Amino acid sequence: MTDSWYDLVDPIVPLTQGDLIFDCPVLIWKSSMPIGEEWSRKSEVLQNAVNAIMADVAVMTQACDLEQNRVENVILCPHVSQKEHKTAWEEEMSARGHNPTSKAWKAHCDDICSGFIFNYTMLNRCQLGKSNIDVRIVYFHEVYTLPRLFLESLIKSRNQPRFRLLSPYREHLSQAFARFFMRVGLPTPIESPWKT
Amino acid sequence: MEEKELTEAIERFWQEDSITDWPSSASTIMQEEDVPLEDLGDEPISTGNEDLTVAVLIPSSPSAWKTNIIQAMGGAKYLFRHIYGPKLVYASGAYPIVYEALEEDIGFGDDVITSASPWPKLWHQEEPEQAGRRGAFYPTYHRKVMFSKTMIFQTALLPRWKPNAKIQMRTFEQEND
Repeated sequence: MTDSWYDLVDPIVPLTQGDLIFDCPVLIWKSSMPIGEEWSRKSEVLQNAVNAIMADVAVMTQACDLEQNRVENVILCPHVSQKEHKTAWEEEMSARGHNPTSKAWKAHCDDICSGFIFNYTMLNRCQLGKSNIDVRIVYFHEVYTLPRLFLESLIKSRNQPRFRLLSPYREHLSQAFARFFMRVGLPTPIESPWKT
Repeated sequence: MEEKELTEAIERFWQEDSITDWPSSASTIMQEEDVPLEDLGDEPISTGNEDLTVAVLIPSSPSAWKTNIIQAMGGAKYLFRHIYGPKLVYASGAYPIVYEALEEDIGFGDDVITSASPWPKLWHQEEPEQAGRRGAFYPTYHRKVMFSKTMIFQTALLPRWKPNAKIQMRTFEQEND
């Protein structure tokens, strides 16, 4: 058994859950769009609200659905390097009036690793031959879809191997995604009498 | 008194290799053999024949009939066989019809079974693949298109997605600790 989280797969290998695709074009909705009177022209509003961006993404669609060709579109979540995430985290901390200390950053990363922050999961670094991948943080609060045919064509046209999460890390990613959706917030938390 | 006669007659016919006539369609109340028979007479039973209103299902003897009881006929599988002709008159005046079945095929008292299992008929039909029936179901659906737009991308010029960190309060609470 290997300690590696990843395998490197050839472009001809069919897509599956846990595949990481870098520099993938995806469509998103603009964060702001006209409302009010213009809302009567919904089609036009939507047409003008589409943005194309480039992102590093992880395939989240179930492996069996892809294998059995049951889905036309593939669900993707973006992932970023630890450095990119730290920049975003520092901005958010400052915006909230908190000091982004080194201690707070470590606690934040520990929380992600431990699964305490539902909208992220962390993927380990890995070296496979000459290819290496650093720690990646997957964002579950952003979800994209792309046509499967498009994604497979893109991978083939690039003709480069891609990182693929191995089991059980692939399932760990999938479970973290599920937990993000299935979580239930309690209006009244447990009172923690053991702390008094 | 009639009960006793009925019981004796059943015993007698049990010993005989009497035969049989397969019911084409019948419903019955399944009862253990020691259930008071008068209870059966009060149950609404449809046998498909208005003259035959009571059916009694008894377990077969351990040695007899084992291999012959279950038979398929006309696309239906019968789990019991008729062992008694309409010679007895039940207390209510109805004819009891006695069937025997393997003990494992007899349910609990008050269970109602039909004379023919539906499964043999279903076996004649091709079943969909298990994977298609369970788990996730993906019907082909047609989307209502609001607009369709040809988009041309120069991927090299597309802006990078900028992460937007959503931070849980837990981090702040820990920091305050």
